[in-house]
Order: sequence, then structure tokens, then C-alpha cells
Amino acid sequence: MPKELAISTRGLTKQFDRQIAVHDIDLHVEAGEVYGLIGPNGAGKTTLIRMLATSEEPTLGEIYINGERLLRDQSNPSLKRQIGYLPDDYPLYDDLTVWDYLDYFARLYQLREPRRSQRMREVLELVQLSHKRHSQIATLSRGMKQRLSLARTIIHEPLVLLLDEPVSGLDPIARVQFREIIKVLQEAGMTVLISSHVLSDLEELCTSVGVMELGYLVESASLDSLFRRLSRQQIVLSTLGDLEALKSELKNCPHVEGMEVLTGTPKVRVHFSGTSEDSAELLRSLIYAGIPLTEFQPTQENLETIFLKLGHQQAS
Amino acid sequence: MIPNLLLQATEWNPQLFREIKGRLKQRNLILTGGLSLLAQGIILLYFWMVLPSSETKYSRYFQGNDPYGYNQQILDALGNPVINWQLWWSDMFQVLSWLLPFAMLMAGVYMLIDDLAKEERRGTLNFIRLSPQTSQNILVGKLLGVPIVPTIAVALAVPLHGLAAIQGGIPASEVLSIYVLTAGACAFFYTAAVFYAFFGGAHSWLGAIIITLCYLMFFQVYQFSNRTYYPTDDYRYLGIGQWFYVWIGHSLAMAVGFALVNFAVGTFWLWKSINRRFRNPNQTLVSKKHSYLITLCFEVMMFGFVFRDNSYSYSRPTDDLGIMSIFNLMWFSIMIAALTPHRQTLLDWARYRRETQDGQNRWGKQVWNRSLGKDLIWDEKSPAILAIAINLLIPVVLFTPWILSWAGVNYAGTTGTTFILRGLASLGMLTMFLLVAAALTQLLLFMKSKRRNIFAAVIVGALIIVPPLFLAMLSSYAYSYSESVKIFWYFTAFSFLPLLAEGAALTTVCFTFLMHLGALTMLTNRMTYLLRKAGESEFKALTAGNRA
Repeated sequence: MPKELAISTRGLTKQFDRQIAVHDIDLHVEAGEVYGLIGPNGAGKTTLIRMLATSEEPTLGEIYINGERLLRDQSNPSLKRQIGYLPDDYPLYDDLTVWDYLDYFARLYQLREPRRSQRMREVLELVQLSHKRHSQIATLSRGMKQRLSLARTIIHEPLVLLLDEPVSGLDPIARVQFREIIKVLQEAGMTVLISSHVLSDLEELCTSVGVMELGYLVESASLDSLFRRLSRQQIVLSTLGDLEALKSELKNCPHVEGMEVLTGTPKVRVHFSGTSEDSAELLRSLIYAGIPLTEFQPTQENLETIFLKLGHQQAS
Repeated sequence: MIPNLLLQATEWNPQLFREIKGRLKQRNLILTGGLSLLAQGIILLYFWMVLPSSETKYSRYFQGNDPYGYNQQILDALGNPVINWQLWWSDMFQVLSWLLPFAMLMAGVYMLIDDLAKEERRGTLNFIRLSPQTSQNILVGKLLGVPIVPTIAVALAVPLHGLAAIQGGIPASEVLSIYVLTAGACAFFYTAAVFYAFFGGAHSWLGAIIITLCYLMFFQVYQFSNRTYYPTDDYRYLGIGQWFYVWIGHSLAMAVGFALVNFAVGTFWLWKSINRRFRNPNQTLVSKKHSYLITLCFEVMMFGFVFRDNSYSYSRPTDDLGIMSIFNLMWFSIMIAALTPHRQTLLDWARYRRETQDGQNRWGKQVWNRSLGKDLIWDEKSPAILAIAINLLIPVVLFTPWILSWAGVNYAGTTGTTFILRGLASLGMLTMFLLVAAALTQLLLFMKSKRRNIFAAVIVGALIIVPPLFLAMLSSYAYSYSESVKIFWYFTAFSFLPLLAEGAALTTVCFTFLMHLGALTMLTNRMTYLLRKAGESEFKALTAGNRA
């Protein structure tokens, strides 16, 4: 039985002047998924997310959140409570303290005491800002501001979280922290739609990805199926002995589709089409053949390689 | 800092709570309290200084009834001058009654524009918009919370104001009316400040200047109407005369009630408009449907003052029309700006009008059933020109029977028929000019430039203001020209000035009218062409490109 759709759009289109920023998109994100939106700058990711957050009015098309029609008016306050939106520029009130800022939004989202204070403590702990609760927002670092914005986004426990380039401009440690938080939120059952240029982050976080280009959603699939379809398995081997002997031995294996010597190292990268059992068999045969192997490392092509392989060449 | 009771009271409105919490900081409170007490101290000191001493011979504050305030000194049994303390307190009451509403209005309007412009600039307003709170809740919070500091400053002066009223023997009804009117004026002008901010106005100082001018003008009119200019012995409360033959200004309750009803109607429409704009910043400030009712309210309110006893014994009937034309010129300048949609809205309307079905954009049901005319009259996204024409028709329909009723007037040798012809010509000319201005505004707001707002404001503003200024500079007086010079006036927004004063040859009026009509046709044709182009699908544009 198919899972319920947390986000669904029909023919969603947004035109700015004569340029179509988002073109007739039918997006389907299942409940509980972390959906990564990738694509070059100007592909329409931000516009799509803004429309899903009701921050932008679609020119045409319909949006459904958990099966309910989303309109940009006051007719659905309950639906608005289900959405959390973090834009890429995350504006804040510099004159407020961290606690007062969260308190303001908790009240806007109709959280009542004692739940309000409890929830504020929870999110501050989650984004690791408990020690800064009495600090003025103006004194926070960029990473902290980003985390505070995320705390604001999730204060009302939304079911759908829309994150637009949430890690851009963050240092590696802040990015790791951010990733960990997203994982916790996913475990808590939130559906997350996240756009990012950092594909390694998305690879680690996402269950599905969509590729946007020139306003079109050109690819939308689960990460597993994408890898199955487009990612070739590779094995990196290194030897203490003769490279030629290793290469001739590898040529005997029917699953080896090609190989390349990694320049400057006694290593060979093999494109392998077999299963895990086949790769175990290859290792056994090489050892029987007396090849002095020091490394046998099966890997897969990463998301970045797949993205480049898809050949979407829109200029940024 | 904030008392618990206040905290509980603000629980129902998070926006009000945020404003109060952000503004009622210790430093702000001390500063506000200090400033308010200092201002009161200065006023007291001033009144203390004008008190006459035993050496003063004449003073306003000696007992007596001198109309110019030069009462002679009277000494009591102990040789001390007898002071008219009631008058002294009454004067202080007058000063405070002028100052307190002014402080509330000016500071409040300034702070509201400043606050909303800042929120819009930073992008924080968008988050509030996305929350499940209603726009009414947020805007009430803003309207009550943002001016909280000046409100406290004024509240601190209320005891002194009350004391001055009691000692000055001011009737309680008059004291109460000041507070009620201040509340009404604040509701209206604060909502107008939000309207201005949502209009894109970020200059809070401009708002403060406008409110100051309005306030000063009101007092000028108020004082003027109570001098001996009009042959009436009765005091006119708030400077209001008759309205549809009903004496409003003779009773305090009527005058206050009239002002409050007007503030209420104005606030109601402004409130509708700011709520609409808050919910969707891409919409025009006023919907076409509402615009007709708003204009009708305004015109009826203004028109009522024309109906008074002995209207044309002391002035020409055309003078009333002239004053109403000036107000209409201002009114329709605002309405054109508030009704005219921008480029993107028009592009969407032109391109997808036929594709959108009963749906999210609420463009109406079953689009194919709609005619273009219906769209232009009611639709939120269509060009505004026809809607503005209908709005302009309202004063024409209202005023025409009144103008025709001048037949029996005979003022300084000019017959009623002449007045009627002048009246109709000036009404028609102003309507044509405003239609041309509306078409030009629509065309300018369809420009690709991101600064089209400014372009439209500058160009249309200049079109209204510069030619009359230039013509006025060329000669010292607008009315007395030869026909050949006067014709230039007929192409300006103020064509009604020479027309009403001196009239014009029928051929000149017809020529000017046709010229206006020509300009209007040219501008609307251009707009239609551009919209047709914009409405073509990308496919058609592509194939047309290929054929070329």
C-alpha cells in the first residue's frame, strides 16, 4: 500500500515576467521522507519552496499538504501550523534575546503554557543553544543564528519542514551539527524537503531526491533507485607486486567492465557490475592467483558524480 | 518590568505582547517618563511666568471682561492682585488639549511607519504572515503596541490635564469629547499610517510632516470658522457647519458624533485594505469591488457640506464645486495608485486568464463564462482603467443634478445657466484628465523597470503639479487670461479653476475635451496592445520567432 503523500503538487507553475521559474511541476513527497532538491542556481528550487510555504503565490497549479489543499489566505490556519519554513536568508530580530524570540513565535503558533516553555527548552537543547537563551540575537555567530532560525521553524512541531539552502555559508562543524539535527527531526517523524548545493550532505540525509533544471523537475526518485539505476559500483585495488599481473588477472573476471590505473599510485579502479557475492569471488580468485593485494575496497559513485552524469548543464 | 496583569492581558495577542516587551524597557520608560514630566514642567513654568505680579497694570489673568485680555489690576484687602485662576487653568487646559492629541498622533504615525518599513525591509513580516494568526490579530497588535511609548508619555500628562479642566471649570462633556475624538483620530490616522507603509512608503518623517500639516490645518479651519466671517452667532464645534441642511456644529454631541462616524467609516475601509494587503502583498491595496463603495462614501460625505441654508447669498455655487474638485483630485490620485495593478499581476491576468479555473487564485468560476467587461469591473488582477472610470462616474452622477439645480441662481450678474455650463464643463474636464492620468499610471506600472513605482509617482505627480505651477508662475493670477493663454490651463489638472471662474468658449472646451479623449484612446490602445502581446503563449511567441 503506498504511503500517504505529505507534499503533493499538480501542475505547479510560477512565471516571473516572461520567464517561467517553475514549470508545471508534479511533486510527490511521501510522509516521513527527507527529500533533497538539487539543481543549479536559478533552476527554480527557491521559488518552488516559497510556493510550498505560501510565501509566494503560484501562477497556476495546486498544492496539497497531507492531502489538504493549501491556499494563500486565512482559510486554513490549521494547515499553516503543519508547515515549517526556513528561507535561505533567515531574517531575525536583533533586539530580542534568544528566549524572547522563540517565545514570540511559540505564541504566534498558539502554543500555551506549560507546553510552550517546555517546547522552547526542548528545541533550544536540540539546536544546542540552551546556554545562549539570555543572549541578544545580535551577538550570535552565523551558525548559531542559523540554528536559532531552525529552532523557530520547528517550535510548533510542524509535520512538513521546508529548508532552503540551510547549510550555505556554514563552517564544516556547523554543517555536521545541522545534519545531526535534521536526522533527529526525521526520526521524530517530520517530512523534510531540503534544497542544497552540498550534495554530500544530501546523500547522507535524504531518502529521495529531485533534480530541477530551468524550472522543470527533471528527475524525482528515491535515492536507492537512483543509485541502482545510475551509480556504478567500483572497486579500488592496490598491490605490492606487478600492476600488469593484477590487470591481466582482472580481465578474466566477466563482471569487470573497465579499469583505470590511478596515476602515481600502484592502484587500479575497476568498474564492477556484479553483486556482493561476485566481488567476494573476485577477491578470492585474486588471492589464489598470488597477487599481493594490500587494498580491496568496493565503493559506489556518489550523488555528485550521478548529478554530473545526468548531464544537466544549465549555467548557474 | 511588565506587571503580571499586563502580561496576562497580552496573552490573547502575541503581536501586542512582542511589541510591549520589545518597547517597555527600563531605559525607554525612564526616558519617556522624564520627557513627559519635563514637558509638563515647562508648560507649568510658562504659565507661572505669565502670571501677573503686583507691579503689572494690565493682564489677561486679572479679574475683568476686557475682550482683548487687558484687564486692569484689582487688589484685594491685603493688597495682593486678584487673579482669575479659572481662566489661568482654562488656558492651560487649552494648551494641553492641543498638545496631547498632537503628540499621540505624530509620534504614533511616525513609529508605525518606521516599524513596518523596517519589518518589510528585513523580511521578518513574512514569517508573521506565514503563522496561523489572523491578519486582524497581528495588525491590532501592531496598532496598539507600536505607539505604546508615546501613549504612556501622554497618559502621564492626563492628571495635569484633568486638574486644569476641573480648576478651569471646563464641562465634563467637553473634556470627554477631547479624549473620544483623540481615540477616533488615532484609530484613523494609525490605520492610515499602516496603509501608507503597505503602500511602500518607508519615510516615517514624511508621515509625521503630513500629520502635522493636517493637524495645523484642522485648527486653522476650526479657528477661522469661529471668527466673524460667517454671519452666525452660534459657536461651531469642531468648525463644522451644516451637512445636508442639518446643523452639526451647534451641538457638541452632534459634532463629536459626526467626526466619530467619519473616522469610523474611514478606519473601516482602511482596515479592510491593510488586512487585504497584509495577507497578500502582491494584491492592490483596494479591490475594485470595494473601491466603488469607498468612493461613494467619500463623495456623499463631502457633498453633504454643499447643502446649507442661504448657500449662495455670499458666494458663487461654483466655489463649492471648485473646492470639491480639489478634494476629488487628491482623492482620485490616491485611488488610482491604490487600484492600479503592477506588471506581474497584469502579465498573469493576460497570460493565464483563460486557463485558471475556479481555483486557488479566486479569479472566479468557469472562466470561459466571463466576459472581458466583467473582468475589468470586478476582477482583482485586471487593469484598473474601467474601474477608475466607474469611480469617476460616481461624482459625475451625484453632482450633475445639483449643478442643474443652479438654474435659479443669480450672483453678481451671472446667470444660473452660465454657472451650469461652467460647472458641467469643469466636471467633465477633471474627469477626462483623471482618466488620462489613470491610463498613464497603468502604462507606467506595466514597465519592466523595478523602479516603476517611483517612475509612475514622479511622472503622474509632475503631470498634476508642474504645469499649473509653471502657468501660475508665468502670470500672477490663474483666472484672468486671454482665451489663447487660458487654453493651456485646460490641459492641466486644475482646468476647473479658470473654467469655474470665468467660463470658456464652447469650441475651446470641445477642442480640449477631444484632445483629452485622443490621449486617452492612444494610451489605452497601447496598453491593450501590450496586454495582448503579454497574453500570447510562449509557444506562439516561439513560433512567431521562428517564422521571422
